[in-house]
Amino acid sequence: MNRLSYIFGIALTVLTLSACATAPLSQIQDPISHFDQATHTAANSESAFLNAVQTVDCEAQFYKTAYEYSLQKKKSNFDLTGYCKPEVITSEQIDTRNKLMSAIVLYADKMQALATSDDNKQLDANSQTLAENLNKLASSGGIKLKDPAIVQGVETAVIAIADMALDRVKYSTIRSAAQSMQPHLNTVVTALKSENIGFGMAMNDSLGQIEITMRTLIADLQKKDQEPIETFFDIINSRNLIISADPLTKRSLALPANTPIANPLDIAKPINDALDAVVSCNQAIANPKTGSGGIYAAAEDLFKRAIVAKDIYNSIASAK
Amino acid sequence: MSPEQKPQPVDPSKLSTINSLILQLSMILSDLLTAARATTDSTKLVQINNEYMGIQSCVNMAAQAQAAENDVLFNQATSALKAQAKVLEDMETQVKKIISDAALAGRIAGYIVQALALIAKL
Repeated sequence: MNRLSYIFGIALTVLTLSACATAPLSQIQDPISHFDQATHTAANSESAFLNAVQTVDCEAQFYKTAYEYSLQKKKSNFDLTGYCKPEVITSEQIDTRNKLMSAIVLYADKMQALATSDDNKQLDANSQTLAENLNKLASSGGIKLKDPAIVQGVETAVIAIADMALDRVKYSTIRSAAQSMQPHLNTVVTALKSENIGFGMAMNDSLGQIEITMRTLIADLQKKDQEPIETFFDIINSRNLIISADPLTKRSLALPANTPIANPLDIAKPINDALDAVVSCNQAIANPKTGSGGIYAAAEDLFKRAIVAKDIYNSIASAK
Repeated sequence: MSPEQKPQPVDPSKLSTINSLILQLSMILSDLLTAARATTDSTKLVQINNEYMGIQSCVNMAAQAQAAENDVLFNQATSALKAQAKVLEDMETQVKKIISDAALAGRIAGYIVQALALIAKL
């Protein structure tokens, strides 16, 4: 290689890297659109998770009352309709967490709007109303979380996202917007993840309640000289019931050696992995070295994780 | 309602105590489930189930306190929880009788002691 072609090679490399660092809008539109779409899916997954927590809670309550009635322990009754008063997570708590997820979706929508070639990069009227409402909620101390220590940071983050969505704060490039919003996105995601772990533990407790009840009844029936075939089918039915209620046994019954059978933290893992992927994807947008290919890969990872989480948690409700 | 009776925000330190309490109670539940899986004795299973349901009730009461909008609702929820302290004390003795695995029973008893200490702080 002569010196001229060597210098040309270096210059070409520099130019290519430079082009990646300041990718034209047309190159970044598709990955950002994918990020937006995947973030919407992640929001659906979070909602499915929260509903699953409530569903399992209600199931556990039902089995508890049925068990108490069957033993005639006290003047208990049972309800066959499936209506229940949630004890683990209230509808208001679900609503608050869905609103936090809406803030993240709003951010992704705004990023997509910024990535369009249109001169008008404003969000539609519905999204603007949502942004106003989120701003009001956060400004008035309306965000209630389990851990009070993180509330203030979350309020600040939600206000920052709403301000961006409403163009009260403008950014010169998509990249600078992603960089500025990264800490806020991280704060909201960290809060949601922490909450999810708590609710996952509660879901695990409810599942344990169902499992112990089934074991107790099977052992009791066998003690009363039940026919072996009846006990056998009782065990099969109980197992099917546990599988239909437990998101982890749905995924795999084969666990590596020495794996704890039920790790409460694992119940929230699929949704928390999806939330982490939102932050990673935004990091890819914010990082000049990533380029549009890196953003697309991160968005695809987010999309796949969100779909896995949604399927797992949705199947809990549909199994009922 | 006079100004001094107006509901106030929940004291963050008390909410923190509730969070720790829920964690302790969940660990008791997890160990009770382990104990239930280790036996097919129907009498023991009935007893373990009773203890599980008792602790689960405490968790639900704590969750209600956690979700309380203000100190009035919080105090209502924690009053119910404090009333369960005696049940928890009795459980400490009961668990040692039901669960043959001494190490497991000891661990559960330890969690109960810690849970009681947290309830006392509310």
